[in-house]
Amino acid sequence: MSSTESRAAARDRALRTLHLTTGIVTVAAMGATGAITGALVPPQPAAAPTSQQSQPTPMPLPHRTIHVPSTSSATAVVVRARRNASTQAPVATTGSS
Amino acid sequence: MSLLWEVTRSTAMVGTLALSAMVTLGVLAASPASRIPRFLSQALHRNVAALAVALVTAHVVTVLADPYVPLTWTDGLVPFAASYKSVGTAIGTLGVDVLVVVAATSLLRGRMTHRAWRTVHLTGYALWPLAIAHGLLVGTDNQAVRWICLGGTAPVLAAALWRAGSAPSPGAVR
Repeated sequence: MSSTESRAAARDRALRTLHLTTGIVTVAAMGATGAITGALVPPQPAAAPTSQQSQPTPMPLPHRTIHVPSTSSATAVVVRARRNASTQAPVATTGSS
Repeated sequence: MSLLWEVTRSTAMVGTLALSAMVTLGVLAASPASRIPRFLSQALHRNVAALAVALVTAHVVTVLADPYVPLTWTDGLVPFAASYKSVGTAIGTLGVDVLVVVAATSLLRGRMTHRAWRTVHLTGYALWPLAIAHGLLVGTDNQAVRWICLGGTAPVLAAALWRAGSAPSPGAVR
């Protein structure tokens, strides 16, 4: 192989390496763009319905309100009782005996 | 806010770094004092320039397609046509125009005289400060933009200073 041919071969190898490197850099840049996009997108609200979740999730109430009928008068006494179990649904009872 | 708006911002951030790398490599590739073979440095400059053009194109297309900002295609090409942050947007639009001209003349380099191509190509130096000014004026909603602009400024200035320091003086005897 002459010196001209060897120089041309070395040049081709260098260019191939360069293009491969810049290809990797390009993929990395695209990945960085995607990662930054993902970081910038604000989180969706938890109550927003999705395709799998057609039924809206009921919001838990910290307390339940029970209207206890008064035996002495018609005025109801409102008692706020702490919700003691997650299975208990909020109860709102009104009325008089 | 839509996904397009976030893609606009992310392509702007990565595109700013790519533009800075493009200008840095362009400065180094044209320097006679560079120890890297010219065919390699110029090929690297061209590849990074293609990446920068792709990112800027994605930035422009997504910002124009996104309904969050009321911009038309005319606003994207004609400076001061946009009402949204008019000065900052106009600087970005001017930068896009310069980029289009420089990229087009680079593609048509074989059909131009070297003098004409070089004259147009040197206007590419204006592209980078336009991009940085656009980022600082428009990208005010994220602190990362300022750091990216600062990070992109350092290598460009270093390359420019190195080239200015290594260039032979006009009166030097060789």
